[in-house]
Amino acid sequence: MKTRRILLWVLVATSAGWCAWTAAGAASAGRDRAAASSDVGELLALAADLRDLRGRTPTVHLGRKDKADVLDSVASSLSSSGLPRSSLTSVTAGAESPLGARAGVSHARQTARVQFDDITVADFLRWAARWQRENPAWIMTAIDITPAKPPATLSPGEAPRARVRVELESVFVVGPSAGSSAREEP
Amino acid sequence: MTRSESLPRSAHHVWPAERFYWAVIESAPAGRRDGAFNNRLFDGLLDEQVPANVVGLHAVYLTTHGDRLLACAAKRAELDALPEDATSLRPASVPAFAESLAPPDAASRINLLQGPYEPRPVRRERERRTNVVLPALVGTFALAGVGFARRASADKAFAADARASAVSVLGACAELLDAPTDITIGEIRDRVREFRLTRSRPDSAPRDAAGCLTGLLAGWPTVDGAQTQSLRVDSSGAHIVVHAPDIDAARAFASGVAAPPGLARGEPQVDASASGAVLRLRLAHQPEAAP
Repeated sequence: MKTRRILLWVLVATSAGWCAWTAAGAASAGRDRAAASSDVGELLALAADLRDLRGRTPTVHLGRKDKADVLDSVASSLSSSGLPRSSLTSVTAGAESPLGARAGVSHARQTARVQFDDITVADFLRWAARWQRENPAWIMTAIDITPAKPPATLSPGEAPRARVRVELESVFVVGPSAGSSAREEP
Repeated sequence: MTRSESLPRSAHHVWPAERFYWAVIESAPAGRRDGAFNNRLFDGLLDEQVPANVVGLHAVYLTTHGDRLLACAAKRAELDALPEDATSLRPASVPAFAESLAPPDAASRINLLQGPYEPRPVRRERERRTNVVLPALVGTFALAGVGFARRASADKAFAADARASAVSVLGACAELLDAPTDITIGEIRDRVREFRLTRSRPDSAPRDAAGCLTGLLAGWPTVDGAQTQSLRVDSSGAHIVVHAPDIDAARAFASGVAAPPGLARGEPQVDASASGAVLRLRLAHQPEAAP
């Protein structure tokens, strides 16, 4: 009788231990399930956002563009449009002006001016198209074209040369505004 | 200490107090229970207070006021002589020296037939209960364990499916971003945040002058002798200044200018000059239609 009782107690202890072990396993599996489910949910949401945002043109820079950045970009677009660097006369970075905050992110506006003193209109249009493709966040807000030489001084068959002044404008992110989340709805 | 000689034959036995050995144990060790109980750990303390060898005694202890225990013991030989159907043995009263210490019902709460002297029917009943309760416990634990195991298995399968889906969605995201397939969810989160920041201006974007200029130049008229003095395109529209050999040529040029979409031609202004005529023409942006 005593042996039977001991055996029963051993069985109780064993089954209780097994029960506790499976309960711990179930809890761990439940956490895994919740984490995996949450990851998939977030990934699906991110993929939907990506599909939506990917088709949009970038219109905001993530940081400031100083004169050197603008000069580099202009030089790069000149090179890729097959124009000599010498056709560029000057690049001037303008002043910044704050645009305020939206959805916890502060923005500012920056302007720049690019001047070509001796360029054909066709070359300028080629550069402008390349510039827009390579720098969609820099918008040409004004273009001023005047003749660079009097027409009488042109050789026969020579394309008219122009002086072109371009005003550019860009918006950039300054940083998260104080006390706000940096998450922004599109 | 006193003891009795009689051995009555009934299930419940009551002996006079004098048949028992009595003692009060001061400062009882911790771990004692309420009520009368049998504990051989206390027998050592009893040894100093009874005029008999404690090995030949069987004692029970009753909690009293304070930290004291009232010990009540009987000779094992006399307990062995009790009939088999005896279910309880208690004193008729507590001795006078213990009356102030013990609770009023102390005598009725004492039962010497505990531990090794537990009555067979009582033991059998307890064993019967044990034989029911323990297998029930085993069954309960086993069923609960099976339930937990099945739940864990289902959750693991769900998590594996979810991870496979996550890998597939990660691959799709990597493709959308032209990124390596080992991209992490954190990297995707960063890229989406960057996209959100860079693809949505906080203000209304200014008009693109380049597109307007291209449209304007596409329909630029050719008039003999007409020379463009200046052409400006900005947020307000386009401003054209042309020098023509005469007023007719200036007007011909003005009528040849085609307004690109979104621009409306203004009235041309032609002024005579010493060397011919100067045309000033403004094309203004048309207000955008309300959405």
